[in-house]
Amino acid sequence: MFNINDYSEYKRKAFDLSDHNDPLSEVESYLSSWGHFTDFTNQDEIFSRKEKREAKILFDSLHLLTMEEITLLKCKYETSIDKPLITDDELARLYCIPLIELKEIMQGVLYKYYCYYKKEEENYREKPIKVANKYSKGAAKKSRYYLLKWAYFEKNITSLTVREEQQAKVLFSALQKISVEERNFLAQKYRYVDEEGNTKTDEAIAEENNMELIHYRSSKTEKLRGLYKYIAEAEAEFTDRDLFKEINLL
Amino acid sequence: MNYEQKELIHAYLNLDKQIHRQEKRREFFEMEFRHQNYSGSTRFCSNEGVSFQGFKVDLKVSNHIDRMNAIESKISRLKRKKHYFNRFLMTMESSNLKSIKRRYDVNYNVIDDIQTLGSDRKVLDEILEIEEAISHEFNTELPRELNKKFVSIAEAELTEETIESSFEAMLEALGV
Repeated sequence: MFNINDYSEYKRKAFDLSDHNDPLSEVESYLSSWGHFTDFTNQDEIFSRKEKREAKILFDSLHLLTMEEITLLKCKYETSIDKPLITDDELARLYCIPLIELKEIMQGVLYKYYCYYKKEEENYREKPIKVANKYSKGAAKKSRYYLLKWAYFEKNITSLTVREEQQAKVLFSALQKISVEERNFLAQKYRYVDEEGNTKTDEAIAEENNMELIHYRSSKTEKLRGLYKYIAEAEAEFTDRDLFKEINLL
Repeated sequence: MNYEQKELIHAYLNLDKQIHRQEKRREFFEMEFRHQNYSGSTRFCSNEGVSFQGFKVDLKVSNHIDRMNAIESKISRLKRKKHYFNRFLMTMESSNLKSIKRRYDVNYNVIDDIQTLGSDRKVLDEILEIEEAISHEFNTELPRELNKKFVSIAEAELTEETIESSFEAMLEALGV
């Protein structure tokens, strides 16, 4: 029924794929939620988004196995309230083979399943790549978030925190790429501030430039949108999202 | 002037006290090490019962030597600072020197109330240069508050004239 030699290559593959060098315990943790998923198949509201993703990976990778292998795994790992856990002794009696042989077969099947599971997991991990444009959502708002700190960064350059320094790098590398006229235009609003840190009003700046208020505002938002493309590039380069991860581990 | 800048000048005028304090510290730690008990001690543990714990020579001696080296390097740095600073004070006018010594001869609590004059700016610039020289001499890291580039950016006014110069200085300072 089962041939042990078929599974010899999967063991090596599984050890290559696993990060913690212990694929068997990982697989058992994945399969332990099988019963939980089958109990509540009709009630989608119970599951969170993460659980739904896990269920999809689990069952899609199960369908890649043969029918005999699935039934073997189902006997052992699909548990529910009505159907409690089966020990290996009882399984060996069901299949009419010695216990040692069954354990070897079970390990081989688990290694094979682990390889398929990892392949399937990569497919679901992929996300659509977002390209930053001036038309992307909240473009003007996000560049405004950085520009409002322009004066603060210059005044407090001697005492910036690590996170603030990253943000300063993002802002100034983005401002470097736009033209001098645009930079001066934005500086009128966001760099020249009071002692309290308040910016000038739009009406006052429009009067200085002899423009109408509507035209000034529309040209300002255009320039903010244009800046966002470079800010998004710099964010990918400079922001370190795992900055405080090591501290939490300690 | 900032509170921190005033404090810096105050610290430089009282370098003698700092050196004296470090020397006292060195004496104290030396005495503490010499006069401790070198013999071991007995202790009671529920698993092992009564056991004997000896004097850990490696750990205590290495710690002591490291601490002594740190203090001595600090003293040598302070002496070097004093040497440079005294040489600068000799070049100042006697009236300015007198006024600085009179105004800055106060307690730590009252530093914020010190009146500042135009000649203090010169002293601060000299101190920043001394700090830079010492960081090169002893291979230590220069903090940003004492770096001349960063201080000049922070003190520039936010007007149309300074935008290009300070923008380039910021790019240099951030290393973009």
